[in-house]
Amino acid sequence: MARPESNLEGRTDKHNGNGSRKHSDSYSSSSASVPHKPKGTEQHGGVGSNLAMIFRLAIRTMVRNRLRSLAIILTLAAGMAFTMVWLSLGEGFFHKLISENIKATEGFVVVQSPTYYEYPSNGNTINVTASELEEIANVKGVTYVKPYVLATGVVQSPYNTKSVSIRATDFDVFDQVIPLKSRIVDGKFIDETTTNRIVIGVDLAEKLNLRVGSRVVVGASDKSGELSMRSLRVYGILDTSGSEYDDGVVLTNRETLRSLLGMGPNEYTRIGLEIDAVENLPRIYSAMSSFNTDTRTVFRWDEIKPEIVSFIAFDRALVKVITYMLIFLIILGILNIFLLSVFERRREFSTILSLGSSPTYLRLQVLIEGVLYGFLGAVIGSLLTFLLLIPLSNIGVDFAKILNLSEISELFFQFSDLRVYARLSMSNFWGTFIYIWAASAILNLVGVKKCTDVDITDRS
Amino acid sequence: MKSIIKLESVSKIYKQGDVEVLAVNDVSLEITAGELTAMGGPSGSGKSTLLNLIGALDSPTSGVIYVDGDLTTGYTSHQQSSLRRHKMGFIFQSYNLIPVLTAVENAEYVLTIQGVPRSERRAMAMEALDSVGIADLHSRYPRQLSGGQQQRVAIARALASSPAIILADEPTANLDSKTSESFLELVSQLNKTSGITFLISTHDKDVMSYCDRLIWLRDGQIHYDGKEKEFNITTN
Repeated sequence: MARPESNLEGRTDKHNGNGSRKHSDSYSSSSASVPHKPKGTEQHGGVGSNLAMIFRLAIRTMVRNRLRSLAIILTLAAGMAFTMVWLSLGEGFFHKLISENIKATEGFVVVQSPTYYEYPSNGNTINVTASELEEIANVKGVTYVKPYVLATGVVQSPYNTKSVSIRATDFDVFDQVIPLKSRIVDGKFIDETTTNRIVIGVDLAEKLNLRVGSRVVVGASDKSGELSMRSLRVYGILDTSGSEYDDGVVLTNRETLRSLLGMGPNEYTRIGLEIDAVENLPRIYSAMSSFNTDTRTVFRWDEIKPEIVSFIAFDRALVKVITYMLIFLIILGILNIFLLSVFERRREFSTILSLGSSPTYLRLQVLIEGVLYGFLGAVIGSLLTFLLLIPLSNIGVDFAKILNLSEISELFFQFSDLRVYARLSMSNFWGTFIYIWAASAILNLVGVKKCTDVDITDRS
Repeated sequence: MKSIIKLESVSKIYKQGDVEVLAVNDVSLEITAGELTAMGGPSGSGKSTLLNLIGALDSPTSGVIYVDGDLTTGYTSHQQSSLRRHKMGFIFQSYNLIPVLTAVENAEYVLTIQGVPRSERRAMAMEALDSVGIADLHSRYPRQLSGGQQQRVAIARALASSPAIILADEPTANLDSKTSESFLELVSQLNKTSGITFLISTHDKDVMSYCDRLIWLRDGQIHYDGKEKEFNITTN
């Protein structure tokens, strides 16, 4: 059948080869007419002009669906805050472990024989004069100097014999760090004047059937390797609720132990230093370098306690891995929200593609939404983190109230208390910030892929 | 007259499970510039499928399609996207405005993805809104507009990019009679005064009555192609 000619009567416009039109009439009473596209734009479509529109669509979509956006952002923020609190308390625990444990044992900086760590024999000693001790005490940042004479030996009563660690130091100084004097339950604590006296723990006293005033024989290898023995009297019995001091250590003064071991007045097994802040360790260690000689070496605590270093490193890594995995499971819930958001907008996406938008730009829009959600979640999570860490770093968490003190007293006796203060590590902070941000973007990739899986011929 | 759309022996087969459906069967037609054409037929006659093929939303199983002189059969999806962007305007049954964009932003959307500079595309979009009589509503979001107003925004969006042809798929299906009439008056006016080529897929007799030419489909084939006035729906 013939197709009729178009009814073009009355029109004054003209067509050119590109299909654009010049118009002299318009529909409305205004003088507006159908717009003309500028020349040379047919081949445009670059990223720049589209990027602003993509960002606008992404941001307005987020604002339009406030409840959904809030759910996503708050989930991410909570994840970030929880992670940071957990890691910061962990850092606080590690800091406490280092400072308290090292305080209770050798010290943050130790001067001892270069071979003592491999060969901790009774005769492996160093010489430190009184003036040198004073010089060490005057190093800026040093709070206490603990000069130790140490030995391994045996203590024998009429009833039993037991291997023990024999320790002598300046107990007035030592008590500032580990308050043993307050743990005396019978008798008295020794000092530099109570020669040939010992203090033992309540468990050791029970095993050897000793009481205050009892005589015991204490034996050890002296400097030359010969067996040396002394008859000493029990001066005090202490109860620390910990096996180390209650069962395995005999305390005496330096004169008594030096006499047993055949050591001179300036001879020590070790000089241990307490410092004002762990952060000052590098400076203090550097300042102590002048005390190195052929027969004595200045060590950092981590050089002689590699097991603690390894434990902390391993535990720190383990905590991080477990925490990040846990957080990922928590924020996995937002995956459903992302998918729902894409599903609900499939008609919109179909329209956008129908109009000629590139699938790449559509994917970019959805990707930007995930990135923006992640960023906002991380930012708000950061604010939450700082709000939570202020009290946690100033007041701390008293684990003695949370946990059963009696069960952990032995493990944590050397802790002055069980209050842990959160310590913010900036590497943890930025690591978590980026993790949360990236997790959101990555979870949203499913939506990015799905958003172009629409039928552009179905616009119902 | 310049040919805007030309189809030669175009067919489209869909697979529904194991069954093949011949939605469009050996259709040949030509639409020239300035025509106001209705494409009618009962449900399942192939109107939407034919419209999708013309609009480069789908590809034919066989046959060739020319759009504004260019052979478009065999275009990749990227090329089809570009073709729609530059040559086609669409008016959908459900308006399909982007809900988070204002009326003027919806109108300038195609110009944006074409890369038209901001100041120019804003002016063009406002001009398009003015030509459909709703320039004063340019800052409103779709949820703040009536159905008729939204459809006008959809027309403005289609107009703004000066396409070779505007394809409308059941554009009055969701409008009341008064709004439909107003819409059709507008389309007719734009066609007469600006010479814009329209192809409207519809089963509405009133819509057909506004068009100069009617293509009537049945079972995927053209059953009638001629003046709308001479078409007798009862015998076809």
